[in-house]
Amino acid sequence: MNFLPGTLDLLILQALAQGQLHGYDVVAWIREKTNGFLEIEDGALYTSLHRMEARGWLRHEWTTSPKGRRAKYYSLSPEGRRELKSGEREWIRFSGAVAQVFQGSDA
Amino acid sequence: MNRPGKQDEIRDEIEFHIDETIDALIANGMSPADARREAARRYGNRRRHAAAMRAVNRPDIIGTMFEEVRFAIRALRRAPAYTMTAVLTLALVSGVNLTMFGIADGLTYRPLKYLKSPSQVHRVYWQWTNNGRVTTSASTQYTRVVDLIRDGSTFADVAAFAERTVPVGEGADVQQQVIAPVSASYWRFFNAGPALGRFFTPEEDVTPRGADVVVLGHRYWRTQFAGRNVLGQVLKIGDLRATIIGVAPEGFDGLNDGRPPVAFVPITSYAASTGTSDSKTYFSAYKWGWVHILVRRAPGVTVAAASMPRGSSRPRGRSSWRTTRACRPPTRRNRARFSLRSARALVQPPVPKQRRPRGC
Repeated sequence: MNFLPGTLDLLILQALAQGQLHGYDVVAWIREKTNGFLEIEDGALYTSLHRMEARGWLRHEWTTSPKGRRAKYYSLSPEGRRELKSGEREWIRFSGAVAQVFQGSDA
Repeated sequence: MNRPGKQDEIRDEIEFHIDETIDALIANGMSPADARREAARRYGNRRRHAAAMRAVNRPDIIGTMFEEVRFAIRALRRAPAYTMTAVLTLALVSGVNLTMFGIADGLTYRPLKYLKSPSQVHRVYWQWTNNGRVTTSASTQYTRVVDLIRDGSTFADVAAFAERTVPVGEGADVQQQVIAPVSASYWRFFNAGPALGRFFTPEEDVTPRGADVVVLGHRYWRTQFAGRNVLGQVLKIGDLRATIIGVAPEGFDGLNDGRPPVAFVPITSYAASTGTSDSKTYFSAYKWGWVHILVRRAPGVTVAAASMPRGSSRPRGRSSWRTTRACRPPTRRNRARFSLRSARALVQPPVPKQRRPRGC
């Protein structure tokens, strides 16, 4: 499905709020939390990760995964946490407003 | 252009993701071949995504510049008289500026950060005349450092330093980096304490082989280790496996002519670790010329007096020079070629090569 602009970034930030994750974990987390409803092309997720890192919202560290592979782990920077909080507020206001419209139509 | 390191990171990151996906699909009962196909499908167009990842870190410099140039041309074409005046003025000013910069560059030096009493500190250049031709060199053998220290009275302190490019790190993290093998006395030339840990001591810088320790450059520590406490970790530097004992202060780049070093190791540890025949004789033979020397003049000793030939520290006469070139058989031609009629240690301010005034 097509994402509203900024939604994927917000989902990634929320995934990383759980702790340090590599890109594969982020995809898996989003799939699990949305019961597979949000189908993300995996490659697109990495572009978002890099873009947010360039903006200073994320940090990264190369380390070894539990399977012994060299992996890039991302975590939230303080700016990223602030961005997540403000994005979450905006999203709740936006989705609430849209829901109100449809609830109004049903009535 | 992105650095090769960045491109490698992007490739490694994509490969990791695809490998993890394949593992998960196989664990769910898919055949390896199907899992590979499915992982590739889920990832999408690998080349396009890699390009997008690279582009994120690369501003559109060409596009922006092109726009700026177009705007400038349009503006200048509207006012040709103004354009001619501006171009001529700029040409004149640039010429004057270039000349003045050349003069200023030749006459003045910027003081080096942290250097203690810069007016007393000099780099030693070796100068000799061979068949009427004067040759000056900044690099010499480590043995000459030993000689200068033994000579004593002229210099209050002597330090050796060098610059090498070697592989640093291990496995996928290994990169060619500039390092500085330096003597323990090197640190005494600077008013600078370590940002973390300590510098190495004279006991760790001894012939025939010093201790396997390293002081990281501050910038390298920040970028490679994110400023973490890395004391006690082992870092592979060329053939050394060196324990990290400290981090140089911020802005401390040493005296190297090229890029700032990422690490400082005891010069005796580095020399002994190279595994060449020179690594066994570097402190006793006049053969391997790779060391630069820093000196602090003793109180009351002038630059002229310090530059005079003296004692064993000067490049020696014919016989010792033949020893220096011991790898060559002492033929008649060879003796004539290396006869030294005059030789002296020429001291100069410690200016890295790119800022060195002409004529040095």
